[in-house]
Amino acid sequence: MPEHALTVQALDHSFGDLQVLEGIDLTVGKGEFVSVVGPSGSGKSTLFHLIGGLLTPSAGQIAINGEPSVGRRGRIGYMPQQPALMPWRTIQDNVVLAREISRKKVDRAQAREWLARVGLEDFATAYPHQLSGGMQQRVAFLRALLAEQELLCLDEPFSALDAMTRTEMHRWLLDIWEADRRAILFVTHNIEEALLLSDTVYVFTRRPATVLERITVPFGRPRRDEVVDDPEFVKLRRRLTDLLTGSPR
Amino acid sequence: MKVRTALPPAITVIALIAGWQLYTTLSGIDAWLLPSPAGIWQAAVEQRAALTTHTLATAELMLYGFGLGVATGLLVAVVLHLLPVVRSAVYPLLVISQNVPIIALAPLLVIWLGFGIAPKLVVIVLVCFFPIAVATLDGLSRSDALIADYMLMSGANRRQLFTKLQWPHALPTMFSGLKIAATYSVFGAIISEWLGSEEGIGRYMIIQKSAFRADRMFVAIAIVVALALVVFGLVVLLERLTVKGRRRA
Repeated sequence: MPEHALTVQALDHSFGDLQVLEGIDLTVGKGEFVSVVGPSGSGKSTLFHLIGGLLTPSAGQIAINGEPSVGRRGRIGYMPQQPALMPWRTIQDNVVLAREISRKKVDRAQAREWLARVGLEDFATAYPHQLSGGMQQRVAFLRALLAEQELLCLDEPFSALDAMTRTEMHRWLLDIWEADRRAILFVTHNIEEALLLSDTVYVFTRRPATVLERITVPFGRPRRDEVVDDPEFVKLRRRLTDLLTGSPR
Repeated sequence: MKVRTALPPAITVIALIAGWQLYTTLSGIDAWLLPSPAGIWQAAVEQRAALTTHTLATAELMLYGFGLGVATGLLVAVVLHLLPVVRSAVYPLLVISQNVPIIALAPLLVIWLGFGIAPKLVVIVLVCFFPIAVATLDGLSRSDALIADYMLMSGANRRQLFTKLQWPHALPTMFSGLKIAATYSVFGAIISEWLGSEEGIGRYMIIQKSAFRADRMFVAIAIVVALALVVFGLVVLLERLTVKGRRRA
């Protein structure tokens, strides 16, 4: 049965008179990596707040794993733009937070195992302020991953990092995700990042955001870093750039 | 504390006492007007039995009062935080309560509550609870909105938001309030003893003032300062034990 991890249909949302999203249709299949690119302020974070149940849409449907999920919380693994770690908790205690909230069994051994897999084994009992920005983002990602939800929502997770750390994080994310295929909805304003990571890219217009185009990325898995030099990749990047800069303002 | 940081204040205090001793010796000033440090020390040694009784009485009163003040302050903070309607209704009254001079209120308390321990405790609670309530309330309401969003999208309820985010976030500011309240509690205890009591450093001060025993007054002052430092130190110790993972307030 082709049940999707996420189905969004005809989603509208406005804050008072300000319409932010208009008629958004979007699906994320099981184990699919989907990106949403759009100009800054095009309502991408609002989309996450709607999917996460923090906001109730003005109109439209949201289904997670086939179940209607409008206004329902606790059904996604979420990684915000800032790591948003609790400064008074050790790294391993931060990682288990999502499980603690959903009253799943808190398994510190599992947390440490994962920390070791991402090269943070020496930091399990450290506090967030002792970690670099990239390391903190890895912790935030693990926290989302260990929530053990079918759908992971990542909100511009690497936008605050420098270019080198960002490239490292792409590789890191791909390696983990290719080993543990979850459905991912990834929001970014970085075109290259979207193409490098995703199976499908949705291009959003400026406010009110609509889906301008849905692009299937033709590169296989596991995906290699050199794909960015592929002529096909360069062409797609050009096309997306034109779409974004040419979109009505 | 490191020797390097402890040395300058230690030298200042020793120099002050030496200068004081020198002045009283050379000027021949009357001891009832300004006793010498050596004279004060002698008075302390002579009176040590009586002083011990009085100090213990004050310490006991102060600790009961401080404990009640902390409980009241925390209760007020939590109730006002959880019930915003009550907060907007009561907060101005709290501020006004701090502008009523305790010295004027104290005799009324005796009329209402008698000469027992009750009016004394009320005085101490009145001077103690406010800094704790205000500091804790501030800490509770200023917790990280990003972490709150994260927790809500992960399915956290209000209770989890309070116990896992707001309360731990409020701890450092609460301790700032506790430190202020700790020093106030000594002063509150002394004032409440002036209301009329059989024993206590406050009572001792009144007796010695009538007898023009400036030397014994100075001993009493030194004891009050020492008591304040001890309570303050206990609060700092508790803070070290409970506030983790970031610099303390």
